[in-house]
Amino acid sequence: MLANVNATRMELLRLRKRVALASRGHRLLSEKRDEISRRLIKIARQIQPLRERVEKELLETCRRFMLARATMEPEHTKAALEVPTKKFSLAITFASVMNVKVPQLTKEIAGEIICYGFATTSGEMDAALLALERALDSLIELAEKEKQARLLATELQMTRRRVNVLEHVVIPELHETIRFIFDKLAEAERDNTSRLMKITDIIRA
Amino acid sequence: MDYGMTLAFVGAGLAALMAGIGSAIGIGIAGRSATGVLSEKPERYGQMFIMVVLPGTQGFYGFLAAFLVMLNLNFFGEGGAMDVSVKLGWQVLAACLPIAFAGMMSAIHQGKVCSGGILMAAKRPEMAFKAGVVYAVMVEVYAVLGLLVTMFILLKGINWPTPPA
Amino acid sequence: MNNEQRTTNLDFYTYPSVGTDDWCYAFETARVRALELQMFTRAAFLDMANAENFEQAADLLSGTEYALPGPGEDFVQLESILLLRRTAARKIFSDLMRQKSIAELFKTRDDFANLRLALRRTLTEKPLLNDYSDEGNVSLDLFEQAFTEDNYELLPTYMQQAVEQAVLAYYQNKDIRQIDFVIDSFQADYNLKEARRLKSVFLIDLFGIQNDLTGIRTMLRLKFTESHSNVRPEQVFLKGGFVEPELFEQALELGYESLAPLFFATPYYRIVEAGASYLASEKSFLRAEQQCDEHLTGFLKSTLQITAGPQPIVAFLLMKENEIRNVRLVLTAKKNNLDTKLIQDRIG
Repeated sequence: MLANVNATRMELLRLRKRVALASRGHRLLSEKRDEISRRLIKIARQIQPLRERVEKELLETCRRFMLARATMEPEHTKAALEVPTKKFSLAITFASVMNVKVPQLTKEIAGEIICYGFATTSGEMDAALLALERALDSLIELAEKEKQARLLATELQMTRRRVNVLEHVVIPELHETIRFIFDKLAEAERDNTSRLMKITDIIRA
Repeated sequence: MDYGMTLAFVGAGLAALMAGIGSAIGIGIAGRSATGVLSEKPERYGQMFIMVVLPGTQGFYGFLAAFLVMLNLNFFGEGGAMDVSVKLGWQVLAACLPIAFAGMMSAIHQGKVCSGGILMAAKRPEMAFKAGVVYAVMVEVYAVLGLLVTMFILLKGINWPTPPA
Repeated sequence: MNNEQRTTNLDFYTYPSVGTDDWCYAFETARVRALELQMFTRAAFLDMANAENFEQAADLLSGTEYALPGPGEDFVQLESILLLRRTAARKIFSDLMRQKSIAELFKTRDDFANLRLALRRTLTEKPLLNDYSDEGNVSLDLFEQAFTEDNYELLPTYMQQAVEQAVLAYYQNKDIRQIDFVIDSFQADYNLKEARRLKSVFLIDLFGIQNDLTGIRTMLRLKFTESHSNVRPEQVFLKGGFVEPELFEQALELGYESLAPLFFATPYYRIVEAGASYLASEKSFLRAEQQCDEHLTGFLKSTLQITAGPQPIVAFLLMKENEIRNVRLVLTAKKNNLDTKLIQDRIG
């Protein structure tokens, strides 16, 4: 960069403007970085208990379902679960968090989850399905949150890299160039001054 | 043959017939139970055997009573059967009734008791003799009582005429 | 069903009468008694439940008819062994049952299960697969033919009636559960009707008890899932038990702790008391179901007083099926490292 720079006053002014811009950008970006990490931490804090809850509910579902299956005759299990009555649809919309597009899931659930009669089925099946229903709600929320966190994390990484580039590469380099040009110009000035002094001496002599 | 003799035959016949029927039914029931158990547990044969044959005794009692009648009427003796008056005929018939009825009923019920005993013995072999056989023998007692009455009447009660020389 | 046919009078303390002896069955009863000797005792189940892991529990089974063919066999194989055992038990039952109509009556259980599955598939326009149970009275071919051709006349009368009622109920508001409700109550009615036709005191009492126990379970389940506003009580509570269905409806309005007193006058006081308190504290039906099984087994065991008759043979079938379910339960629980206490709560 230093090699092919025009050491002109014009260039100096341009570079000074760029430095001002870069440092403003740096300040903004580092603010953005801080904000993103704040939000990320908030989401991550929410994910932790949510995840634990989902895992617990799913484990519960599994356990109860196994018990139900073991105590029912196989053909009754099959008949009971063959056609579900619960309808479920999922829609995705995008929201913008810190200029990052994050998905937001909206679910539509209709119908009852218990889809069988009582005489040939076990009560544990009811409990399993109810636990599953609860788990499903949290599961969707969890999926949404985890995706958001992931996207924000990528954005955070990118922003941090930009901040670092500005801070450690662009701004120092600009400063260096400015100093170089300034030195060059000062040199030229001094050159000029000394030449003028020499000429004055010659004229006086 | 005269009227008295017919009555005596009916008596002897009833004793053998009814007690025999009872025994057959009783053994039938007990036998089926025993085969049911033996089909799964053949090693229990010895225990089952006594309980299956117990209801069979009544048949013998009936046969014994009938035989006594025939003996006293000198069926097998010299000169053939004696003349039997109507009165004697009725007496013989009456004497045979206790073993005929007690034998039949007790044999059937003994068969049922034995059947129950066999089922119990399948589960609790150690109780087979303590309970199964003892209870069956309790039913047997009444068949024996019937037989005793029949024999007392035949041997002590009836005044048998002397056989023709 | 009219009122005079209903046997709702509780003229017994714990178990109703099992009827009288039928001496034709001397051999069959004795055979069943001998077979019962090979059944698992409660202690054997508890040993299995207390085993440290699945392998140990499975080891305890070696030497019984449930023995796994080799170590490290997978669970699918075990399931098929259990199904084989069940088929074998059913075969013994129908061989020993001299009254073929009783044997057929118990086979209708599979018919009704097939019917539920097939109706669900046809009414929701799903493909009618061929994975039905072949242990019913109706052969699979005939069953399939009837459903693919929509020609239900091929089926026996009772199934025709059930199909008719179930389809009607479904189209009222296109609710799949209606199929099950209708078939459940049709099956209960049919069982009782057949039992009356056969003049079997034992079967009438047995189905009565089964209906009552189903009623108790249903009542607890409706309370637990809080869905009793979604179903009409007269649909789900089966008629023909010893307890009036109204009692269950009444119970739906009460809290868990006041359930037991409501059933104080019935033989099911203990079941309701234990089941409801376990449900309230553990949110699980294990205890209620265990108590129901126990009650039924108790009734079946009271057929011991029958020296010869169809009753012990029916009892054998039902107890054997229960045993197979219990084996499956214990092994499933062991395989998945479930809490030993859960198994104990379920087995009793």
